[in-house]
Amino acid sequence: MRKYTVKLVGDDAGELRLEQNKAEFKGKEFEYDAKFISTDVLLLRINGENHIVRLESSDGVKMELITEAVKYNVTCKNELDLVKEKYISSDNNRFKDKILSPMPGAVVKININEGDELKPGDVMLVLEAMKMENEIKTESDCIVAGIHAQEKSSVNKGQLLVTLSAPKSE
Amino acid sequence: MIKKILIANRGEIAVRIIKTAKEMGIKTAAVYSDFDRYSLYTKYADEAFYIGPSPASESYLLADKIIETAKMCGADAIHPGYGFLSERAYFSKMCKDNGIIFIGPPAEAIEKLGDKTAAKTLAMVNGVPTVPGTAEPISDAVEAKKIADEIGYPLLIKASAGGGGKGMRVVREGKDFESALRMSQNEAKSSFGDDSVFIEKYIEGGKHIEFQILADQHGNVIHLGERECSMQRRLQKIIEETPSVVINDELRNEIGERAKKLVKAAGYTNAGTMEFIMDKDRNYYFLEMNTRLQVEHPITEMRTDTDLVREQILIASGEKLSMTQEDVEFGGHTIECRICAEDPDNNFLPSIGRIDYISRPSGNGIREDSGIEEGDEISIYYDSMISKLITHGKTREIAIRKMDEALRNYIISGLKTNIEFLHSLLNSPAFMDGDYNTQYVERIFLPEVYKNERTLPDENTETALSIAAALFKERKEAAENGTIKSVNGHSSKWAGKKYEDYR
Repeated sequence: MRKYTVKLVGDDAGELRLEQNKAEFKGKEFEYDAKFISTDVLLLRINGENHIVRLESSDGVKMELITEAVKYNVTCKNELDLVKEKYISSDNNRFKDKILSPMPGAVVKININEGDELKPGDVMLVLEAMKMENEIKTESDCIVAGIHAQEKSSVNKGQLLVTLSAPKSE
Repeated sequence: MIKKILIANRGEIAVRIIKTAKEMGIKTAAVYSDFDRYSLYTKYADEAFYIGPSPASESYLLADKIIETAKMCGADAIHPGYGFLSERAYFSKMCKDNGIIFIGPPAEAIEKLGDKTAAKTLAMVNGVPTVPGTAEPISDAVEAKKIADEIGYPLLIKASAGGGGKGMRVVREGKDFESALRMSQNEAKSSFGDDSVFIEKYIEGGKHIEFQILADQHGNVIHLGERECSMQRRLQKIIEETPSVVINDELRNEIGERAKKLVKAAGYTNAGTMEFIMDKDRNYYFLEMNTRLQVEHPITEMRTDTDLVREQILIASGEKLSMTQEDVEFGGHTIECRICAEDPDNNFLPSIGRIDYISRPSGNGIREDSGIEEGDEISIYYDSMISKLITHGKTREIAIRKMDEALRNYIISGLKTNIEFLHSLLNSPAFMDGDYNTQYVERIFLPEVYKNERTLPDENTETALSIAAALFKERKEAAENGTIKSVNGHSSKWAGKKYEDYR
């Protein structure tokens, strides 16, 4: 018997218990058959009803799942995850101090200098990929602590571009 | 008659052209860059030849290299597809000078109609209404600003050599003009090698309506009706349909006849598309002529039961059009969705990766024009559009239902695509009612409809998602512990590789 706590965005969490071909979810019992069609595509037959579910992304707990051309954000925790959660505080509201490249591409232009005070929505730099230019903007008030990319250079997805520090409080 | 066609393009459009050529008994030769060595279209063609490194500027844009390859393999014609060299007058001329048939208009006609400024003047002379704006292309920023302030905002900056939304920007206020101009010029320069732009009044709340034209070398010109392409984001088309709900037979006939007159005046031959913007009161203004096959050409093909590539080949061979205007029959309703490798939840950033699974929709009235297959990598070098889904039904409602079903059954695994976004847009009240314009996606759908639309699934789907989540989690953990291997045992060779390794 494997136990999970599953939550869809906008819904209450539910308890899921899984056994070979048997499941209990939110107190109801189901029979199911599962087959991985590919690494990230799963065929599920639950009480005879077919569902094809595709996993688009996963960090182990948070997942993006797609079925019938609709995307759902789902979190799935096992007992170990729940224990970890208790002892590690959430860092959701932390100031975003590292700006990472959202895609591989080329840095076309850098608009900022170290020490600049920026307002939300200011364009820090411009990246080009697939022949389209994309502006990388700030989300909150901040000060430029460091610039880690050069104009006309190539960057990877996830590469550090800029470090920011929180604005001085008045 | 043409014996062998070299296709100076890649991806889905190369596959599309090869299909018709094969049906006509014509041999085909593909060209490829390093990246495309084993792409679907290269295998589907009878022959395939290497032309250079992955960046388009070192392969698909090399006119000399492509002409040389055509001569070497004995191709007597070149089809340019769309994008790349398709609207370059010099390329059409180079083909002619080398004794190769260019499957498209002659150089003089591309210059006259493909050049937006010249086309606008010609339209005015021939009694087709045009939008107020610059008469000449400009590249000087100071002068551009002065003209922009005179025309007034909002306005549109367009690359004079442009297409496909590249190098285009809408500017709403004078203070944003300079940065928009710079970005537009940079994109124009990197995409087309020409940074001159022109500026015109932006018609708010307009519909994008375009007309398909065919003209042979014997003076016969026909139109195949309109395509409504108002579902756009950043001037890139997303969903197209024909007929448009705002065009009746009388208006179709009026615009079609005017478009034909303009095409004749320019001495244009082969397939072309005349774009118009139409305001709320159904006033229409000529925007530009695309002197090539359009991405969205299949919706016209399915509604009129024609093969535009076949007509292009026949025209280029000097044959007469296979039909007159009276022969053109419009039947039913057709919709196209453009499937792109991009992430709608993250500002539509391009998504790259390896396609490890693909399941395509099919059936009566469903067509998929695709350039991809399992195992393919999607790169940053080329456009993010990977395939097109087209549905045809007796009524608009049936075509929509078929598209809805097709999108539900289209599964591409290994990278993010816009399939869910398309599905949501297709089912939006505005699309259902046909009541949308070119601003709908950016002004209303994205901020107000798409974000709020994440309704909860029904109970059975919720159960399925929950069990799936747990099984995916177990699988991921097992894979990390080394107890199982991934289904196909591959991982993307692109992940973690540096962009410059491929430059």
